[in-house]
Amino acid sequence: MERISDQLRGIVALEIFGAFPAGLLNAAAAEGVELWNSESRDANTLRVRLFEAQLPTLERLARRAGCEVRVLDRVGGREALRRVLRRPGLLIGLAAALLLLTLSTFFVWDVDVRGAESISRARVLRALEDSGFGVGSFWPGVNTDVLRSRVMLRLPELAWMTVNVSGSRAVAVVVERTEKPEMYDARERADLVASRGGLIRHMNVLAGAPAAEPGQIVAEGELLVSGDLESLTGERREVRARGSVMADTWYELNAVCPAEELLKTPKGVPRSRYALVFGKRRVNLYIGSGKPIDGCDKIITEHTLGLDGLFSTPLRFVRERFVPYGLGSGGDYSPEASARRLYALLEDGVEGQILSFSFTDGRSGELHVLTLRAHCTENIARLREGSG
Amino acid sequence: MKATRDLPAELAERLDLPEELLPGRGRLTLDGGRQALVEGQRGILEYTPERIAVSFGREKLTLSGDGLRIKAMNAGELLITGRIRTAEWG
Repeated sequence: MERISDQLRGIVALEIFGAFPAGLLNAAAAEGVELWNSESRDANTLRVRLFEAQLPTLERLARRAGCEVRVLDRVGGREALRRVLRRPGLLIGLAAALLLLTLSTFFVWDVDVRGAESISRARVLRALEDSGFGVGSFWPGVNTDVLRSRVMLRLPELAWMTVNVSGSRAVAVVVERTEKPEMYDARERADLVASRGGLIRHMNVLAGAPAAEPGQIVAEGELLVSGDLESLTGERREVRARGSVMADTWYELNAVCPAEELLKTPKGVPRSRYALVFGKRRVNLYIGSGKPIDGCDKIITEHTLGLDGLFSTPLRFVRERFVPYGLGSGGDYSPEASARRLYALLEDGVEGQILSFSFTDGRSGELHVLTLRAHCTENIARLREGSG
Repeated sequence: MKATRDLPAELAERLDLPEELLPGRGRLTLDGGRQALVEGQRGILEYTPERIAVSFGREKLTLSGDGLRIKAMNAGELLITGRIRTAEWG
């Protein structure tokens, strides 16, 4: 298959007939005529393709070689142009479509956000919209510096931002501000207290005076390391207590589930309705409101006309699918699923190791109660600012 | 009587030069028996779907097979496609 650029030059398919048609191929190659897709039909007949502009040269060589040349087909080139020129309506339509497509590339039809991690994409888009940049904006008229200032005023979490426009697709690149590290005065008093109750196993005090000792049972909030120090001469000074206190801790977590679960099950025939969105204008291809229908799941899918990542057009096709459902009794109670969730919760809460754990399953009326009991070892030291 | 020496070939061998650089020497690159690139060709001597013979001046290459076609051609090269069964230098 020939490339489009080749087809624009015009391609001719020929049949060559003569005593020794391969001789014509040799002569053509020597004259710089490009030939391809040649096919020998028999000892005296060849089929070959070449560019339309080189046909007169080949015809001249054929006469010299005593061969006959017959044109079988023409693709593209002048012949195609002639055919198009015979249809002015098609030409006008094509020109209008090209003009519209060219004009549409000066407007933004799709906005994407990159670099937003802690700040949500929707917030960046809203800030852009409030600053006068969004779907339908005429991008050559956008001053990036002004836009940056406006957006950064609205989003103080940003350190920098810019908008790159490619075709009709805009990408807002944002760089979030790095949080300033917590600053503290080393001479300001702070104590270490227990974040939860437990049995102290080991203490590592880097600054401050220990207020508890290994083997001692402490309750939540109890002082572990004091920031109030007394020297041998009786002089008092205040420090910021630092250190770690490893203690055995015990957890009890409960999960309560109903004995019977209600699940959605598809019921009836799903219905679909469609809409076209041109920029910000929506044309519903149905009668009635867009409110959700009771007892139906509403699933919306949108297709934007264009090439993904290259360019977008303002036209979007929206499909709303309504799937009716009924509520029925679902699967049986699964203690395994509850146990997995409880264990995940425990792992998130413990700042150390889980030494052992066990589950007990019980039933209370219509409810299942699953209990997780765990024995852990963790650092329970928590900083408390100010004097104790 | 001493045999006629192939002086250019002998010179190329002594100077450790690739033989395909010598005038009248062709080069054939076969790709899986379905495609052949012939370089240094001076002209097609025979062209049928079963047989294509190519001249290099001093040498001749004959490719035999089925459905042989010249896919592309210019003054020095030929790209041949089809099921190539034998290649014979003469």
